[in-house]
Amino acid sequence: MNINSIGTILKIGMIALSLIILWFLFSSVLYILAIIILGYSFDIKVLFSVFFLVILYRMFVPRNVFINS
Amino acid sequence: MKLQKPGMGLPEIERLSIKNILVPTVRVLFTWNIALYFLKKEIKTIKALVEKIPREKCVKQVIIDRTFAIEDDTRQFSINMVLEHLTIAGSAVMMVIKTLSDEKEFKKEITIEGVKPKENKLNQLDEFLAFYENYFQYIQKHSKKYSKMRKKHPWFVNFNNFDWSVFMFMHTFIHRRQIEAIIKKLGESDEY
Repeated sequence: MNINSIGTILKIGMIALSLIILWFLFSSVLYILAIIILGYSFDIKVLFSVFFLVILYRMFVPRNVFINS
Repeated sequence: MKLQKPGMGLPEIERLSIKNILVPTVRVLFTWNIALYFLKKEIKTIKALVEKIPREKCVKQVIIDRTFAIEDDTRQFSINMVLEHLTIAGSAVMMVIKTLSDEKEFKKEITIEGVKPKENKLNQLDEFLAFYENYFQYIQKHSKKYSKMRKKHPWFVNFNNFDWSVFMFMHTFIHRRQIEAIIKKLGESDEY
């Protein structure tokens, strides 16, 4: 594999990472709004759970990303 | 050096990695607007790269090492042939997105050979930029509703309209990397 190809794969990885961070920030906003409205205290474990749920949602709604038929 | 015929495809490991890892990943992480944002950035990058190159150099064909996700035949393209391919393929993808968005079947067969460049024109950059401006306007006005209708990419899986819009970015990005490799080769090969 040449340097250009390695660079391309690394750049794809960086794009994926930046989008994962973006979705984490989105989840954080959702969670902070929820705790403001509902009056709960901040819990980092819950924040990561919200992020995980957002990703799960994206995997299956509006369609299963693993199914191609 | 004899290259493989057009349409021979990618090495199997590369094709399967894209199909089974990259496709589900981009489906989760991208939205219509994220794909459009990244595509606009790619077009700006390509414009900035190509504008610096003398026009006669843009039609010079050189053979580069195979870059990620391009097939062997594509290694012999000039810069303008890459732009021509992006314009031809982009036009085809735009038609597919329009058709699938109307929940109609895209009946015409999509072939790799059918989107290869044919002319290697001197003024290809203008046509390329004009097409993408048209595409941006189309996507900006698009309802962003996912289609149930799908059309299979010749190498990968069935894509709906959203998948094709993300493919538009990924495909342009892959070929931008190819343009960078061509520019590097032009610099190495002779007086440029």
